[in-house]
Amino acid sequence: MKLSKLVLAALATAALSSSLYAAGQGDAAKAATGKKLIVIITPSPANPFFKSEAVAAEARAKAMGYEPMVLVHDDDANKQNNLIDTAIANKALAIILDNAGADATITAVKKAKDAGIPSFLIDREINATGVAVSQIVSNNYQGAKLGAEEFVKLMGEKGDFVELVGKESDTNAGIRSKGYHDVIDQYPALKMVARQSANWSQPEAYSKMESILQANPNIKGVICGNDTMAMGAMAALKTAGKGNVIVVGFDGSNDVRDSIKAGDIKATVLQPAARISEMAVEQADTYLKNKSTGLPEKQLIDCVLITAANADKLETFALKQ
Amino acid sequence: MRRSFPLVCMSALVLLSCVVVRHDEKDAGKTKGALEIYFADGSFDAKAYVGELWDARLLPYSTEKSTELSSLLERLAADEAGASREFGRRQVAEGAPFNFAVRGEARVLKVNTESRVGIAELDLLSAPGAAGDGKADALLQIGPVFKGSSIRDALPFVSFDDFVNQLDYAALSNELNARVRDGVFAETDPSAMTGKKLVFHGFVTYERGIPVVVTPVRLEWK
Repeated sequence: MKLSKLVLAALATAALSSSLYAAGQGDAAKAATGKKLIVIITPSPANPFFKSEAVAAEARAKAMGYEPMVLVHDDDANKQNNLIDTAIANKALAIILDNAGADATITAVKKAKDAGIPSFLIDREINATGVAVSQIVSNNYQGAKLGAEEFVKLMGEKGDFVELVGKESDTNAGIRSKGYHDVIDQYPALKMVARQSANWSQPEAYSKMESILQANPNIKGVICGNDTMAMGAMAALKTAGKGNVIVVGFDGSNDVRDSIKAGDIKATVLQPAARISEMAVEQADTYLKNKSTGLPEKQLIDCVLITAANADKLETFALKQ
Repeated sequence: MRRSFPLVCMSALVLLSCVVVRHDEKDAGKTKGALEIYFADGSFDAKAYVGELWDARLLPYSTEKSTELSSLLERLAADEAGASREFGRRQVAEGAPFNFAVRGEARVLKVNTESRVGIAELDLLSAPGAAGDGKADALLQIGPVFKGSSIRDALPFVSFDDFVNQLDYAALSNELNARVRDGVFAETDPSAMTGKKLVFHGFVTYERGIPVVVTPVRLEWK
């Protein structure tokens, strides 16, 4: 009995490692331990953007013969630090990380590097090079300029508008707002009558929009730091009978896609979240095989403007070709 | 002695949370409504950077390495991938259009300054089989608002790796465009452009099906 169990276990192990080899993912030393772990760490999947990011990385890692482990840092740098420790303790081959702070993350990623684990950053960058192997950064600034240029065009380069900003502690809230203003402020006939943070939140955007409308009933447009706030603002505008006010968002969510198709929200900016995650896993694989990705560390991935003209092709943070 | 271990952990935790508190305090100190991005420390002087780059490297590169625009457009139409590899440049391996250093001779057909993104329509005078046919072959940005990052993205001696973050990298592009507005177009009156001939050196971003827009770095009016 005992012997047959042992044989079975040995057979299972053999089958597992041979399937790993069959997938063609080199690194014999690590594969011999029978585990090819890739740790994926992102902010909370409550936001569909981050969920899409994690799901895409996990799927690509599985498809390439790795064992993905998906963890969530909730934008908490201390929690992120603990998760990096978990990755080190589990002898991960690589870490895919959408990080919790441009400065706070540097030491955490360095710790992983010192433990021999390469990190591949997605979406947001850190203020240091030479610590991570790749930083595949969503070009939020370029995306914000695209969104603002479309907003300016829709506004006819003039009129009163409102800006809803994201969570102020979030780097991307600042970058997007800066991109918006670097474009909009070049048009003297565009006048910002209110600028408030709605903390990326749909209900908060709804109530902020409601009160802004009471003081400024004749606004012509609302530019928002993300799609959930655009959804909240649009709902408040429609309730107030002002569904013709121009609303522009950022992210490229399916909700806003449907709103654009219905003629409500006018435009958003797609960050190719899914593709960025896949690229990170592919670069991790290349690095593990060749000790180099053959690419520059910092890679800016451009965002794409979504309007009624191409909204049909948008699905879960990716554009169908 | 053993009991001191959790104590050490506790104080480590306290120390860690101290960092977070300090950050919050920094945020709380912001002027209300003012735009402050904590990872932009303002240490990058884009004006000085462009000041050095423009005459010493950018203009010589444009003179020596630019491709005649109408022949480039023909090559791109025939073999986009090949011509992009040969003459173009982009930062990433996929998902972004290529950028090119170009030059050419043209006549201005029409100027549109209704939008602050001013545009002149160019009839390229060396367009094969269509030289000076009175049809627009390309567009020229004339400001006062300049769009895009064709100049930055076409330069082989500028890499995102050399910049702390995307804001510094963006500041460089904005400053290059400002230099076009304040330098290249300092003496140019848009209302007097129509019908005139010019030789241009500049940069374009190519996307199939969309007319190319030249961001000029040097203009000679004839």
